[in-house]
Amino acid sequence: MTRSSAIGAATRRNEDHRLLTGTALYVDDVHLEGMLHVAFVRSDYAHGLLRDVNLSAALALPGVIAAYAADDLGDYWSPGPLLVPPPPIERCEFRSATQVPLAKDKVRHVGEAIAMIVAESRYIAEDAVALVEVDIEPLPPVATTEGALAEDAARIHDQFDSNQAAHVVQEKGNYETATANAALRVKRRFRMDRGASAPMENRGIVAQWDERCAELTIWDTTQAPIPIRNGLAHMLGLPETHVRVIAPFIGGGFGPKIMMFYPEEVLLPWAAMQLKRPLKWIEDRQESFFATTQEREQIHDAELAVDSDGRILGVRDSFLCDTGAYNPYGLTVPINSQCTLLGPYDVPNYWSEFQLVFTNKPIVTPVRGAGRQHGVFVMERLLDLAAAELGLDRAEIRRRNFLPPDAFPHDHEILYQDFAPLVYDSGNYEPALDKALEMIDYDRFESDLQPAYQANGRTVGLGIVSYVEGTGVGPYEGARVTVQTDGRVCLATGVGTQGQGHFTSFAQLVAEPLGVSAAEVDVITGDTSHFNWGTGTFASRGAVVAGNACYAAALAVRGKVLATAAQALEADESDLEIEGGCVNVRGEPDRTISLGDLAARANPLRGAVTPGTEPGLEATAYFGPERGSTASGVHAIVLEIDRETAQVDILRYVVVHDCGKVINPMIVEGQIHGGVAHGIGNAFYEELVFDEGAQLMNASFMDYLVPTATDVPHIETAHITTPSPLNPLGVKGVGEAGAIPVGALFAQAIENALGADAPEVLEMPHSPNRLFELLQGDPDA
Amino acid sequence: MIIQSEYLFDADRPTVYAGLQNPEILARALPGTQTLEIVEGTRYAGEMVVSVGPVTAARFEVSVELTDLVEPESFTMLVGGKGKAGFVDGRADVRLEDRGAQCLMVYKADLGVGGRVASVGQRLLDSVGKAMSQRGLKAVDRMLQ
Amino acid sequence: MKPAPFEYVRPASVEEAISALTEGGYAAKALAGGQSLIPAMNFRLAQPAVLVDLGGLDELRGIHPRDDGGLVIGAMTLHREVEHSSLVAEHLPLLAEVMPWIAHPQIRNRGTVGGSLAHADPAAELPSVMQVLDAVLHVQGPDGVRTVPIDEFYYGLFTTALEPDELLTAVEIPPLPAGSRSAFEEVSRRHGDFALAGVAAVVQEAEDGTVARARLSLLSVGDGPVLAERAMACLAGRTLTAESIREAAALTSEDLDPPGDIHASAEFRRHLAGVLTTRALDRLRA
Repeated sequence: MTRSSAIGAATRRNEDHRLLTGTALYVDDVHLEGMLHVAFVRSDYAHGLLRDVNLSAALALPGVIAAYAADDLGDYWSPGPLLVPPPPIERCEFRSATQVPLAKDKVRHVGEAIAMIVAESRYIAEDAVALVEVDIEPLPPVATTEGALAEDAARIHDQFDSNQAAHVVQEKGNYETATANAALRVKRRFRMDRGASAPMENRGIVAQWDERCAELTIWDTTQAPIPIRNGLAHMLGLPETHVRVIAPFIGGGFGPKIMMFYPEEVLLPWAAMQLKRPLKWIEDRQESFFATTQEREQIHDAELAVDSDGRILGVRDSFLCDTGAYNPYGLTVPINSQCTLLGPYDVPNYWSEFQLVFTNKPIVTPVRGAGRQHGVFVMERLLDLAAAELGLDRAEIRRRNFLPPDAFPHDHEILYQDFAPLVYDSGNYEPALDKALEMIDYDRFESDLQPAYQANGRTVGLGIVSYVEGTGVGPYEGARVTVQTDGRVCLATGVGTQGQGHFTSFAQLVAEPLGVSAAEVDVITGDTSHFNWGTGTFASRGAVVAGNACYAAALAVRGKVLATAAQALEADESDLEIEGGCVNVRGEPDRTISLGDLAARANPLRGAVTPGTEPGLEATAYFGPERGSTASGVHAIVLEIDRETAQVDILRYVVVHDCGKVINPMIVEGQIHGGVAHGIGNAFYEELVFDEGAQLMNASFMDYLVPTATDVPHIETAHITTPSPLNPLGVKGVGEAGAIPVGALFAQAIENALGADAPEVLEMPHSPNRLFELLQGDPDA
Repeated sequence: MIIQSEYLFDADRPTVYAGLQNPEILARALPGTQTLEIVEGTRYAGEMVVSVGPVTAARFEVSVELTDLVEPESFTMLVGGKGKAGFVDGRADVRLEDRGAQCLMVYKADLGVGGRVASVGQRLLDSVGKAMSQRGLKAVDRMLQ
Repeated sequence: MKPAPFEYVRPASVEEAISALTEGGYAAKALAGGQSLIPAMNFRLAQPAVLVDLGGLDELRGIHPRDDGGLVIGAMTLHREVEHSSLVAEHLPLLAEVMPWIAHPQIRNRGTVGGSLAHADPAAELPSVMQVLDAVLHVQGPDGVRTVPIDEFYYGLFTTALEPDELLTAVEIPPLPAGSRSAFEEVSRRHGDFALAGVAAVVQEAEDGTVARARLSLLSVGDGPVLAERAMACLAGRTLTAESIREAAALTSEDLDPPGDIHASAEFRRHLAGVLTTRALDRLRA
């Protein structure tokens, strides 16, 4: 029987007690003596010349301490860094324009920060915001992705001659020659719209400047506390050791919190130093719809060529990707789309081109899935269309094109977002498909269930799609493991945590080698004073990269424990075992010593630490994979459509997922559930709707519809385990997986439900209103 | 946002046309207008306080310009409004038709709305636009009697 | 999202509330459950100078039976009190049926019947339900008390017969005439969201099985509750059959001029109104 906290056990979460009793610290829980509150004046216009910002009436309001416009920042005003430069792709043109702390001369999207007010309370700060006179001369906005490249489109960044932010071509084989004799080509235009990450906790920052110690402390909802610390130290001219960034408990990250050096993140620390008072800014929900980054707008023109058996000869794709007003995150999103399109399939020839375009909309950076769903949507839809044309079963066309288990490592011959070649480490796709088909009762659905529904006048359809997800990219993470004299184990790692269960899964990785329970491991994440090397939590990499570092550090400490115990127990190391917090000589239960006692022995108050040894039972380790590991899965759905009201009801949802070795199946399932919920939102509910003026029409949860608990069905899950050869634990990431294939799944199931004369579903999200238009035979409405 | 509608005035076409050139009467067409004065020719400016449902006493600086005047048949009305709650910007093409002693106004307005009003008010914009234009024209009609 | 400064008054009686509203004029707002007003204030779309909190007016709370089976519901009665009232369940099944459609439990725990009726949001359920139930509204102002039949209460978008210094104090609902059946149908994106369209229906059957009187009121398809007058007329004197229902639903759709928004175009709303009318009337077939 596995121990309850062994690697692979569904250990209950260490963090839940604190979360459920409200004793966990979130940024807004930080209250400091003399703390002031910040609110921002934001642009009502999507595009315009900023003629004047008059702060005098705001400054005159009692309780207002300071107000700043761009010019008041002096030399500190500077555009943010380009966080992710483009990978070394041969055919790549790239133009960088990054966000500014406060708009100067020009505003480029609604909600862009124009001025910052500091006041005794948030109420007064917002009263003062209303008193700031902003004079903006409107310019024609660029409101659509396609419109960005129109000849007469207004230019968003004057230094460039168009709104094209990048043009990239990646190619494998030769699509044209290889597909010259294709039995079938299917070509369509696919659209995906924008969504918000909609975390339960918005962004927030508290900055405290201790002038006597010359130390700056920042509580920040960031997914990347260490890079934030390093960057702010540099910007503010402080030693890195004098800047501490704490990312405490965070109510959901989903990607936009890995975006770094947001205006507020740069301004609060600076102003706290200016004013010598602690400052707090908590993003309100409305601000979050403009000031936090978003994702998903893309338009693909894609073609699939297959032979008469449905085998893929090649894919050709040309797409537009909206980056919003600035592009601090480089090409991560479109490259993810480009690479993930290939899916679990053997695609011998691939020609893929994209243009990244600036628009007058909020900034685009990765949101859970980060462009991957787009690739999956295009490929899965093309396969469905090809299967229909060839009269092939949709599961069969996938099966025929899966990379076989002996094809790994498989080189797709293009570059991935982590600059490494897109090489799949391992995979075994057919068993996942078979399992999903069995769980969703595919054969019986086709033969009995669907006809029975039809006979009863019900419109029910089934969908089944495959996907892969590149996860766990480098560069590296680290961890330090310490056995304390009370026998508890302390684990510190640099990544922040936003609800992924790191306090438990990392604890399990450390607990097993050290023979303690996960509950005896105290995990510290996201505090630069405890661990200050690392990058952050993103790209489904926490378990892969930080997890392996935790495990490596624990193994190193295990070595020290055994060496110290061998001395103490006068035994040979190979005769020792660690269990229940003690080291025992195997077969001699009386010869035992606790980890706490060993920790005390290893850090003596008298006697010397001899040269070549270190005090304590502590070790620090780092892990950096040579490249990412490729997770995969199959989702299946049964849904019902009310043809009259165009409402969709999910009857069943099945996920078969392969994330390599599972550390904690309960946490993995939780991640899948959350991801599927997010995916259902993106497929059916969530859409940021902008009008022709690039005004966001639904900047509240009244109109931006996130699926609630009652809108997310019971999710049946199963695991396939194909370990990754790229890390000692054999794990792959799972954080984003659930969200990735849902749009394609919905589309297929809707078509399947509507039967032979179904309209094609070539876009996501797919609202009832849109379904109504399609059912009315009006695809262009 | 497009608002397309019509209104039947209890006055003849020349009266309606002439009335709408008078800032005092024109002001009635925009419910909530407190002041509207001639800036130059057929350009007007003033202040408006809008109260509709959840929106109470939202102040807007308004500007109105009548262009493409074809007496007494048609004109175009350019409207701009700017306040703390957001802004409105748009044009309305207005056509007047004889209906015996009455006059039918056919109008099509293309309005852009921005700021907070747009970002949280979308559900009601259509209705508010329609209701306000009809209310305004009714007030003009009464003024013309 | 913090409200602009305002003065707060919590009167102890209806008279005090009315004088506070009279004094405040257009700058004063009555606060009932606050489920629409407070968000609007936090968005700073509503900036009343004076907020008159009716929360202390216990006299406006409660569900009181009339001798004839009708009910008088105080304006400050919470949605949840109506939802869980055995009187309502027994005498006005339509009202009981509609309550779970009103937003979410958290909102029903604070929102009030009077607040919803007086706010006159075109997507609200209660105005349509009260309309088909022939409710009468009790209104009190500086000049005393008056009653307004529901068909004369709604003027247009967020506009009612209430003057700024008047309070809605109660809604009185007569018993359903013998032979009456009722139904409510609604479609929204997620449960609890603003309706894309909805319909409340009451049909009173004559002894011969024909429709003596039909009341159909739609929500979220106009400036307020919309009575489907031609459809109601076309059903009178006929039996509810697939044919007559189809006709009534078609007339209902035809007579609407619904607004469109990002969730449902005008055309979709018109279509839904017809579908829901059919479904409601189908349920009322004997």
